[in-house]
Amino acid sequence: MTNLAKLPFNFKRINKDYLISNLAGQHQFMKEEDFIKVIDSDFCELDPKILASLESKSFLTPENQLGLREKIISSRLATRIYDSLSPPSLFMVVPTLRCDHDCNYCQVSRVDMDAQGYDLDEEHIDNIIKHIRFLSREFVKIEFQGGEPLVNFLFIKKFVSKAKTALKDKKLNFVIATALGPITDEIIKWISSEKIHLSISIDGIESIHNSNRPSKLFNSFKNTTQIIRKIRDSYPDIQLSALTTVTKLSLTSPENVIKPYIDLGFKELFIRPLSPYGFAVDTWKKLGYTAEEFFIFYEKVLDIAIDNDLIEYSALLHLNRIFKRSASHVDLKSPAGVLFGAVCFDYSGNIFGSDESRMLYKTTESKELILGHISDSPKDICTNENLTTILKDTFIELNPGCCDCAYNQFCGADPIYHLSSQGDLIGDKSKSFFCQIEMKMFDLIFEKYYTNSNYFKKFNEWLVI
Amino acid sequence: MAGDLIIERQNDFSIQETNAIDGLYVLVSENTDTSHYTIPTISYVKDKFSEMFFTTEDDHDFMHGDIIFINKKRKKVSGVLNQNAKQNTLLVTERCDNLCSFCSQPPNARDDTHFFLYAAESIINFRQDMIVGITGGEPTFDKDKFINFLRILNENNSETPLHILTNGRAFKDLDFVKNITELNHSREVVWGVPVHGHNQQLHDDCVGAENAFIDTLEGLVNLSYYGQFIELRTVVTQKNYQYLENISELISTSMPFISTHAIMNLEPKGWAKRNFEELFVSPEEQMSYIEKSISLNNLHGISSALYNYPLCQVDQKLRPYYHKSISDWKNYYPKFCSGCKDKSDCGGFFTSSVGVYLEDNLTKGKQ
Amino acid sequence: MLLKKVITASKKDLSEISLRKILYWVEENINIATNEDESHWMIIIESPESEIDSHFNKINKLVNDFILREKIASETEHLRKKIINNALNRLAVDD
Repeated sequence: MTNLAKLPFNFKRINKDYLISNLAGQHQFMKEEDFIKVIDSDFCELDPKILASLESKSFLTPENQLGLREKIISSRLATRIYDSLSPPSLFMVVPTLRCDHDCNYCQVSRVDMDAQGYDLDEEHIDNIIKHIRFLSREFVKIEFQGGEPLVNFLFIKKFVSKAKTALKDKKLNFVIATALGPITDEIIKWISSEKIHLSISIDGIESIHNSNRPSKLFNSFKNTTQIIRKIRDSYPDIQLSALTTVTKLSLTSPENVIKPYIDLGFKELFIRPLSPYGFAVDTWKKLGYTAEEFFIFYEKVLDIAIDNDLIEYSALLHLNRIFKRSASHVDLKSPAGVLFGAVCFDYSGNIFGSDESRMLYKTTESKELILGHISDSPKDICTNENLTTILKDTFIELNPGCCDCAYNQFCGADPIYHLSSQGDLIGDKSKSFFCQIEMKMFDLIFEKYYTNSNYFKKFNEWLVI
Repeated sequence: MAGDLIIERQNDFSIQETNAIDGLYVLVSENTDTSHYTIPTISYVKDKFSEMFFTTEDDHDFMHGDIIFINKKRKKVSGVLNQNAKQNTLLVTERCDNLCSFCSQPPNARDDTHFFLYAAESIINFRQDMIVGITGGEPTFDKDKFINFLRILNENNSETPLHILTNGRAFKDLDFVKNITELNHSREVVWGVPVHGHNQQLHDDCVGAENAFIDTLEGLVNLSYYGQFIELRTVVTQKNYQYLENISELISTSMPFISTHAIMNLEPKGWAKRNFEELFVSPEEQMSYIEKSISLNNLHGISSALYNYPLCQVDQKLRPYYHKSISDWKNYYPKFCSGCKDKSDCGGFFTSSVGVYLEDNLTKGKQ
Repeated sequence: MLLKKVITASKKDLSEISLRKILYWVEENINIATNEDESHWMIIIESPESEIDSHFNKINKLVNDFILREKIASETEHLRKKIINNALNRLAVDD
């Protein structure tokens, strides 16, 4: 056996096993006895196939290859960082903050339907498109958020029409995040002909959904399911995706949270834990839970999803981070996805580097979150000092708490989250709900993938779709 | 070749006599303007061509624009670049700094200047829209000769796309890579670089040279710095078939920028014939390891391709990766293939595997 | 009733930075104090009888993990620094 040396790696215990990872973004799931052999440099005692894997993945190397391996690993690390700093492809536009729902965890601090001064004026459309053109590369996904975006439908209609002309050289995609309140037959027809995707919230069966997401104007659950059924029947080409925000009430019954997805024939669901923005901050005592409580719930939902051939999207995001090292999800990147993942054009005319930034600004009025105004020249957004301030502390390899973590190559920095919950861009990870959720998520994904053959099979299927 | 060997395409024919001087020629039909050619032309009339050489063999697979080589001593006219060929490959040198135990073109220290020149002339005088393979030996063995070869192509405005087989060791010199990238700016190039083992021990053993692994890997990383297209090739033998998934792990760790991972069955030619006993592992035995390797490649978003396998010996679920790849003048279908419904999709067998290699090792195919 | 348990770690195995990292991760509801002599760190845990064992185990795990990290770092830290520096340098040159 040639002299083998260790290359740097982080480790984490997952129950009785160990997960090791390195800066090349590789990982190995190991039994405790094998992990100890590596620590003690007892390489001859290791199964040759395990040894082969460790060498191929640059955990171990013959001493004469140290220089080569350093080059390779730093290449991979540089690539990972570079990919995170690529131009944004997600552009959020907030046509209005008015809303027809009264969600108890509302993160955007919505306003009433008759409130004045909360709509984005159509005169801004050309400038927004100019910003988008300047900041983007090939792919452009424009997502309308609110409030309830359809309340300002005329803005959306005009925007899409102008964008399709002005940005016709890009690969364009449009999404409207809507609770389906103001949707008319005419709007549905338009959505179909313009090939717009719809992103809808379904928090569970009627009792759960309506408790989380009530409306003064109608029965939210009934309306949502009715419209979905109508769309599926008359306009099956319209792409629908749904997501669930989990509250304390949801935790009581995983089956009842996932049931509507099965009943309505969805192939995918997206389970999201609560985040500390908007009204959720004040209602945390009533709606919130610990990371442990969330995961007891989540594991069951994942089980049901797998049994019913549904893809759970947050698991898939984590799997993509692990195996494909994809930098496409803005919340799970390092450096963070602020501006370099997404851009948000708010109803107020302000430009933010993320959806969360505009949410936090609403409740704190922190000017440091603003990257510019729609009327500014596009170049000025990227050179705004606020951007550097936010991003410079998001190199996860250097952050306290994260630098020793075995998941740091797959996880992300969420500076706005920590700014909101702890008042600090880096945050004390030992007290961070975000960190606890992410750690438990990675624990779960790695353990299931490597010790459960059914999950192994299903996760692999999801990954190659 | 006679008997029950049906070869798809005849690449050469024997001649009795000719007045033509040995060398490269372009076949041209009557009334063609030949002023732009840099090598002599020979008049080509379909079905009458071989008559010129007083032979009764047919010339159906040649056509106007093809490059041929006349060799009076060997009494042969050979196709050099042919439009009917599925693949055209030119040998530019027999020299090499590796000594692969399965080398299909064993090295030779003879001077290779004429190989480079013939290759350049052939490419320059052939149509520019068909990809040409460049092989050896090791084409970059002499860096200056290789650079000169590219320069000659450029001076003659050749934009022919090239598929260049190389062990990649010369690319550990970053300046060399920079140079070559600049010289190739008006042509598409794919580099076919073999990696046969997941580590130095295995790879160096397969290629019979110390430091090959380190050099090749450095070369690959350097190629990636210049955005080059790389097809990574692994020849599967008894030595490495159980480590295919580890090679995939190496790929995803060290060179995830490659375009394709080509997994190749052994071609019983050259030294591979000599060492066949110790090298051969049946496709059947290979399949489960190939499957694991392809799964890992898929997981990491790297595309895979299977070359040189008879279709019947490839698992159904791996067929999407199958390429009908044996050069058409090298392949044939033994008698029992005649009833097979997949025959037209299958590359068949290498003609070099006639005899002991085929009979001993053919497992029952799935019809 | 409150009980006390002490974890001792040799300064050869655990540096001050590692000790600080351990303290970073100790949960808020666990009451600890630290002390030292020339060659050892002492972590003193004070908890109700019903919780002392579980608290002790948690801290012990942290201590063992960080001792392990130092062992690995002793063999690899210089490489880690080189790799991160090279990566950032490459990015600086590219732009």
